[in-house]
Amino acid sequence: MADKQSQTAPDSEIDHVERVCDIGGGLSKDLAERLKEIDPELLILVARGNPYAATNLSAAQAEAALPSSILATIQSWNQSSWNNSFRDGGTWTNTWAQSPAIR
Amino acid sequence: MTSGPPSVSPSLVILQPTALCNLNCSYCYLPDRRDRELMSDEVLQACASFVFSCDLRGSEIEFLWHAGEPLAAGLAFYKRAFALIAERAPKGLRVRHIVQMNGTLLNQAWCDLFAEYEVDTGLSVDGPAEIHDLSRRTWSGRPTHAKVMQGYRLLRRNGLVPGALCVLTPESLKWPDKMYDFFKEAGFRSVGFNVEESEGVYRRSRLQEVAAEQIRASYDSFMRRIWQRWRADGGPMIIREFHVMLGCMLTAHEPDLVREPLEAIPFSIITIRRDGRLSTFSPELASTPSSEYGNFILGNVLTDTPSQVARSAEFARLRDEVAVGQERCKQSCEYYKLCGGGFQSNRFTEHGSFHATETLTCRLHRKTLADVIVDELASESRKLVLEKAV
Repeated sequence: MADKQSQTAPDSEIDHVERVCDIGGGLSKDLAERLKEIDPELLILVARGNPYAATNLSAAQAEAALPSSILATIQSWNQSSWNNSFRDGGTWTNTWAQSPAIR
Repeated sequence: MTSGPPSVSPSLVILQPTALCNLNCSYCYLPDRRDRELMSDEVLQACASFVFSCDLRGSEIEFLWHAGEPLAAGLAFYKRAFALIAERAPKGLRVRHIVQMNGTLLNQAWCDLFAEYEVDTGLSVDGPAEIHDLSRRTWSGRPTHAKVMQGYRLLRRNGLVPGALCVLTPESLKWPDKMYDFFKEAGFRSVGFNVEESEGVYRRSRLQEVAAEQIRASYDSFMRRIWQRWRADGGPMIIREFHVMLGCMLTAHEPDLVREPLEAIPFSIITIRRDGRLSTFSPELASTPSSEYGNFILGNVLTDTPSQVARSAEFARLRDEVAVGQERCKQSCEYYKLCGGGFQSNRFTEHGSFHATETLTCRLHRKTLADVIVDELASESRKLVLEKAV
């Protein structure tokens, strides 16, 4: 019985593995699809509502990643916010009184 | 697993000058909170020497003073510490001090010192008095909210704007409107919500006593309501959880970009205790007892250089263990891109192993949070489409 199990994973397990392996960079297909339902302009607008919209990317990574139109929009918000927000690693600690490390 | 020692390039140095705390919060993960021992000037100097001999790559470094109550170390200590660090810092490097405090010991002299050194402040406050005082009390059991808010008002009068750090307990999760109203009406510019976690000497969060699905649903409805209030207000208050997750979602379409939490990067965070012993990854590990891992101590600033610490067998073992857990998260978690793995101390406290993946905190603070934000934004997007069609 044990051998059989090790040779043949249950279907549910295979489904799960396939689903997760489909993420190609860390998102399940399902979540990626749900993200696509979000209007990109709305996402920017909401993030912009917070003047320090941030990613955990370095400025170089972010510039490489973002479509130029989005990049221009973000850069136009406030140059210093941009610098703070896209600083590698620490990201929002610049704009935050307490550290992300303190939980 | 990983070859060769990494460069020691901290962006955040957490200094714990004393374990002493004047409060006895019910969920505190820190040990020795009645121990009055203070970081000596010798250790303080060694901290500065150690940190400034690291491979500092950025134009700024942050010193976060924390654990137990940092103000319990006394004003004179910080006058010496800030002056020493300013004197020792390499030219061109901006030093930023952050003090995460409970606010009850504040007076004008503290505000003057913070203003002089442009110190950023964080205040631990769990919402309105009736919720805050359930958990955050003195050793004799007295409530602390009034004193905390007195400290907050004093900071504000001095032009200092602290961020709030709020622990979500089973009680507060029931009252999202009360919680939101409190932070909004008090005028906090920012708030970070933590969940009551199993860490350090606080071995089991009360949230773990509730069925997993039930607590997920409570957190979901709490954050959903906070989101709705925040959106209705136009988002003037920075809510850390939304702030970071929205940032990740902005680039979620890019295949090669993954969130990279500091606590998963070796030596990105260095935590130094009052006796000079240091650790890395999650700062809570410095307060987590473990005979197996030597209490996660990787060296001492009094005796070791950064490269010696990076070459130590203790560090190599910890790094490899953390890397295994990270890889397992990457391979198995549907939310990895929005999380990047992390919560090392939670993994260890909840599961006894860094190889473990899911924790209470990541279930709530990553997965459920992401679901809430995606759902809410998708719902808003659909409404926009309908409005445009009309």
